[in-house]
Amino acid sequence: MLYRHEIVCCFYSWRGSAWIIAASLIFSLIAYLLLTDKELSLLDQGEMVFTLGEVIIAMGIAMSAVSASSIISSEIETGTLESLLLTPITHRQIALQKMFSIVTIWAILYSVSIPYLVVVASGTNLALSAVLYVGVYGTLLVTAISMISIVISWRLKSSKNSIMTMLMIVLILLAPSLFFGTSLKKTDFGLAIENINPVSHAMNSLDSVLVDNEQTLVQQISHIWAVIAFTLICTFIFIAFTRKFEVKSAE
Amino acid sequence: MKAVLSKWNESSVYWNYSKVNKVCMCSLALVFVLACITTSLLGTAAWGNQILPSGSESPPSIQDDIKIDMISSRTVHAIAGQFIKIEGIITKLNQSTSSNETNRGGIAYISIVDVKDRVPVDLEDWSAEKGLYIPSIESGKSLPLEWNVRLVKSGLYTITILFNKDSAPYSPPVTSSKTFLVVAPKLNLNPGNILPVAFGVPAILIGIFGTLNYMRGRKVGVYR
Repeated sequence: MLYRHEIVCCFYSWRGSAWIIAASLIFSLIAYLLLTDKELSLLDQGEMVFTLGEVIIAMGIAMSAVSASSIISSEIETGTLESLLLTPITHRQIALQKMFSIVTIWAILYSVSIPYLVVVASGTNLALSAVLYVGVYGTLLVTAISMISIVISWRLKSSKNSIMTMLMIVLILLAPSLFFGTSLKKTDFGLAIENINPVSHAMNSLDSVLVDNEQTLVQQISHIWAVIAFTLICTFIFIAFTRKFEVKSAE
Repeated sequence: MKAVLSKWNESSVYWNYSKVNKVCMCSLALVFVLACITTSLLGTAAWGNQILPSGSESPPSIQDDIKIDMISSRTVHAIAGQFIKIEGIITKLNQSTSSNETNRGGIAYISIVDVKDRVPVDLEDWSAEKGLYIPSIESGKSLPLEWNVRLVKSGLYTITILFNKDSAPYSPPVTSSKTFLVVAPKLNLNPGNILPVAFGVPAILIGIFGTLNYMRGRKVGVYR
């Protein structure tokens, strides 16, 4: 019921649906630029699909972090958490249903992105791989980030603080893929950061699949395990910290 | 159980619009920042005007005993994105006096110069093999040279083949005559049928969410 309520509240208001529309406009802009810009259109098609895949995953992570990091704290700030805790479901179920509502929004965002991936990859054998790998990595990362965000939202009890904290975490996770140059990535520092960063693993795996055409799961298993391990760690943290919510307002 | 749930529904102010507003504004700001970062990473280049060549073709260069002839036509017209072949022939003339030099080779490479911007072109995206190592050329023999060049950007360019002899590292390279390359821009407004998707998906989403919002508004009395 709580899950349904979250979804309905999100999509019956312009504010909730604005995420999806804004994301589709960004995908449209990037896909159109990639295919029509006189220099970008000369890129290898695998590179184009990879760039779009990166943007889709980055959008999903950002969306889940921002949405989930205020999901408990906003209840505390508005004084509705007490009422929520009176419902005959456990505190962990409340957190889980809220987390699933975020993952559902990611699922819609991902569904919106599929036509773009297919169009940009048309004429190659990359479309199916792009859709599958973006789906796998996006879902794992969005689930993990949502769980961490909910925990932070609960611990900090302030939407402003939890959103800022999660934005910083997301920027740190995305930095190696978006801001590190090729030479910096090849240094010991860059390699160490990329080895421990699950988002870098996901992006490097997409690069390997779409640019280097290494499409089998066996070739990507090292990257997939790293992302799964990150999701499992986030799950343990989520389970440990959502056992009991206390009814205290933020001071 | 039902009674408890309905009581909870009635008593709780579940969705606080002011707080949601703040969160959504933050979300949209983040989307905007992400869009700016992405588009700045992609980048675009300005269109260049094309200037047709006016100079005359210089004769093949002969330095010492090496001659390079450009086989490709003097002016090549193509469209950005196409691959062209640059072909030449390197010949070692029978003028060699030193027997040591008979089997000496060197590196043959191409140089592309942007005539409009007056700068040499970085060949990283243009050609996979910039240089060809020739271990040796016997006197009186010729070797074919060939490069596949991808035309990355529209404009006017000159292409020259150069050869650096191993035996004379400090002497200037032997050069071929120039080939003028006129690259026209590639114009395609709807490659891969992107336009229906790029405009259709946001339009459909706006329609769906607009309808949902309107139906909800009618239900609660916002729209009459």
